[in-house]
Amino acid sequence: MNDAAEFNTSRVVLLSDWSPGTLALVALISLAVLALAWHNVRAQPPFRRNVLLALRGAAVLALFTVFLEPGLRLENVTRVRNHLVVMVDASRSMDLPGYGDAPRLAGVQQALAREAGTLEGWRGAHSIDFYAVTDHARPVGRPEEITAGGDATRLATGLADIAARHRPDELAGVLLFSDGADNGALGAYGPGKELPATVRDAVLRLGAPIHTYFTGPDEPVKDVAITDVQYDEFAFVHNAVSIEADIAVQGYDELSLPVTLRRDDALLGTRVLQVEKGPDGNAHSHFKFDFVPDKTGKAIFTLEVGTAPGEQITVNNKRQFVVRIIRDKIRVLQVVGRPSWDQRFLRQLLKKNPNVDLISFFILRTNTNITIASQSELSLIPFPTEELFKEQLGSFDLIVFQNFTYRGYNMEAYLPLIRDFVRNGGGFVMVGGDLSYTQGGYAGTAIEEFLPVTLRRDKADAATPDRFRPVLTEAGRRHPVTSLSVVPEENTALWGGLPELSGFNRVAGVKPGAVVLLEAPGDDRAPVVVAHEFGEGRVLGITTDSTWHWDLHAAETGDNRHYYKFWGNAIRWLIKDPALQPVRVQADRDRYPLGTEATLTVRVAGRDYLPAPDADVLVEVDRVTLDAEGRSQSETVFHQAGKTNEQGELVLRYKPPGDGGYRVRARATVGTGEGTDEDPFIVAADPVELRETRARKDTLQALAEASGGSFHSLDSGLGLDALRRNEPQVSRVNRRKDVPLWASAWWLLLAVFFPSAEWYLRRRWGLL
Amino acid sequence: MNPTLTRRGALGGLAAGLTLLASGRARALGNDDRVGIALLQYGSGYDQRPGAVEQLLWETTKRTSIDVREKPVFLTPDSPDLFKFPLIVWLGDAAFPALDEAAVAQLGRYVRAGGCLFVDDASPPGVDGFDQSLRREIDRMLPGRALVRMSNDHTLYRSFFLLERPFGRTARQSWLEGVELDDRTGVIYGRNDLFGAFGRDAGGSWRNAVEPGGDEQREMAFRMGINLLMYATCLSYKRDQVHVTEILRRRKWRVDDTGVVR
Repeated sequence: MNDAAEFNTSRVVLLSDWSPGTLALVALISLAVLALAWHNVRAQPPFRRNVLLALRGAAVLALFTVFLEPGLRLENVTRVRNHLVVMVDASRSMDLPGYGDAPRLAGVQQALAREAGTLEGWRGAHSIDFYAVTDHARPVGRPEEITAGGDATRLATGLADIAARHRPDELAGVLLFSDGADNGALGAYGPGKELPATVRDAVLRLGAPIHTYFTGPDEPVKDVAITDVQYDEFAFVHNAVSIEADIAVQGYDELSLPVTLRRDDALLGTRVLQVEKGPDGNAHSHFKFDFVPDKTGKAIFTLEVGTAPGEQITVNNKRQFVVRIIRDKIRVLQVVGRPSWDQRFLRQLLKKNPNVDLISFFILRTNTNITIASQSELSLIPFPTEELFKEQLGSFDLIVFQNFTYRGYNMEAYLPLIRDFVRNGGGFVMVGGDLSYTQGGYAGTAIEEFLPVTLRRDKADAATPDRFRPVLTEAGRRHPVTSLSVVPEENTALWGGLPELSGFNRVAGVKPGAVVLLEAPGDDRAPVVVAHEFGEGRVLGITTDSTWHWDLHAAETGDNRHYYKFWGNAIRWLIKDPALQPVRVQADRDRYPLGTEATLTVRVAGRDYLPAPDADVLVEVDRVTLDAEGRSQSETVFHQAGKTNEQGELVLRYKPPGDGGYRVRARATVGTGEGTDEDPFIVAADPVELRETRARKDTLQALAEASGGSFHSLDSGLGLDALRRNEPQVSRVNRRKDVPLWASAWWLLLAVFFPSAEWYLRRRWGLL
Repeated sequence: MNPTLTRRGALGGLAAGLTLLASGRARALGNDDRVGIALLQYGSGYDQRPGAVEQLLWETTKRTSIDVREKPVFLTPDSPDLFKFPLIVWLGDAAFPALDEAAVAQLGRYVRAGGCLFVDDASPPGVDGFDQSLRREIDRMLPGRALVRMSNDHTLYRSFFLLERPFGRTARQSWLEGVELDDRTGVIYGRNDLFGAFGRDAGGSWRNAVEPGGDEQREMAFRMGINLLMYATCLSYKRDQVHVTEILRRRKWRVDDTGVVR
């Protein structure tokens, strides 16, 4: 067997076993010999000096080489294949056209198929590992298995995944096929910028060349894309909310499109997108929508830009998101016909409540009062009826008419507005007194339409001044407004122990559907506290102006908390505090990635507001879409009945079928009635991946440069043969052979020749 | 300054007020709920201002929308009925013996629960017996909470009329003192014999001369009294932001005799 066949590596080594000290000593001696030679010939003409020094140096070198004993080491070694990673971008943007009309991913798959033979040939030295990269790198068996469905492109994260899997000495290199439209750390790179630190770190940890292949296209696709929407997940009702959006346009010279914002199917605003061709053919526009939400609750907001002619990507023309509109404070308008003790204690209660933003208006003087002081000596201001009952009416959650008559203030035109306010979901309380109910002139007005009671037409005998202790009705025992204790017997006892009240307004009757909670004792059982629902709103009628006795008077025995409890309950019920809803349903997230399972939880409470076990519940999920005119269309896509557990809960899991807005609805039987609730959520209706669809060479070029790799365009071939790859690592030496080089006759001849030549010339030139 | 309320004016006002009442002026549903004043029956001087409360309440009815109980109620400090009267006036003109423990506890509980105690020192100038006794009892009623000088922009000075300082039959002190509790002043203490400015005798004449300002000062004392009732019923209402701008604007309009805008 010859050496070439027996050994597969060779290298020059020193075969001597001289110690480093000996080697150093010999090296010093050699230098000293050269120095003496120079000293000896320094006065000679340059030619003679140089020749003699060259010969002396060559002689010393030849002898030193022999001393070192150089040799050739031949080895037979076994190498472990290292990994060549072929990483293919599998995000949704790879489904867009690349070079030619074919999708970008298809272009990659075709190119790899063409070079399959070359890659196969590399398998002796490298393990060829295929990965699909989206938000992370995931191994795949063959490139044909990859589909462009990922909702993100995070190339640096993918490279970090490879670095975590392989040490640098295990990697031959990375071939990365992508459109460069990264929406992770690499996406932040741009002209004049350095690679982000996280990207640099990933490249450094990889320790192998990254050869990048750009899928194209060089020309931008025709696309109008909502690239970013800035909004807060929480907003406050009756407070201005801003939603801002960035829209990128590419591939169009001029364009004019509508941009709309909707809450569910209600149009909140329209803007016009005007594009004029920029220097690079791209344009970015910024839009701002301001609006004031008028009701609480979660809602699906849809921001949409029209479709441009010939637009290639339309899925990024719409963004949906969920905003939770909450109360910052309960805005209460307290209007009082005259200062009184009743008004004083209610105001104190409302002012003490940190959740209440109170606007009070008290009529301190009427036109029947004598005016002795001039207006400038009084702290009085006009009663701003138009501002309160027309302009700002919708900003309140609750209106309290406390012993107040509308007459004398030109308010007749506002009474229907107040009725509509209640019908649309506002809360209203009428507190009794000599200016309330029939005495306030409300009979036959729009106010009477929503009051829980019908009013006497005749003022005579419309009030009684008698002291009385109101009695809890059967409905009042369990109603949240009159719930001083969750234990019904204790609740009844507490009401029986409260101080007497003094006088109440008499009414003609109780309206159908209204619920009397407290009534005066006696045969006529006159209503004292009555609850009523009108449209979307709630109304409480209190026919006395003396509940303040439950505060100060009750404090005589050291306990006035029931006054606070009663009014606190009343306010929570009037504003429809969600905690008082008998049926509540909630999705565990506001937004789900596509393919994720949603957990839907239904909670049911009984009439006593305690968890209701074994209650029948029906859960339905509607898929909500907007048609071309912006009208909401819904289709029920899930329907399941069940019963609540011991905690009054029913938990269901559901996998939504696709992108878009959804609304889960729960309906349950509560006592003799039925309660419903709903909760909206979104399923990946705004894929991050398609916010920015522009193919980017620059990101791939930067990666290649930073790693010592090379950049290529897919349309010019893969050029695999020219790629720099790290060699596989040696794992074992099977055989070794050292061949001494110094033992050659030529070396001995040289070692004799150089000193002899020097001797001859010295003699000839008379230097000996 | 406004025209002083003269006897003729008062009679005219009375006639107008009676006409209004006779024409069916509305009333609270129960007598307990009308705004009234209870006089604390203790020590010396609480009964020395006959007709004063009635006169103040009559003026209040005439000038404001408040519906009042025409007559005061006398209550001892240990009466449980204290809690039916959110405003109690304590008149005094001399040192008084210490309240018993039950009365101290009850008055303290009353003030903390939301009641308002107005203390009116009717002592002659230079006599401080009532003042010393009162401070002692306030310390016992509300331990740790001292009477402090009330700022002259306190809501009490703008609850109905715009006033610069407290007024009364005398001008002994240009400030009030008070005890603050939960964003309200639970105890208000004045030393200008406020109620001394109000009472009339059977013939309709003022019982006491008002010094040094005469009828003009009496009118301001009535305004002070009405503001007291307004503060007791409306608390910090006039401090609400919605009123502040308007009130500040009006104050700017007011120019005193020197031409200085105040």
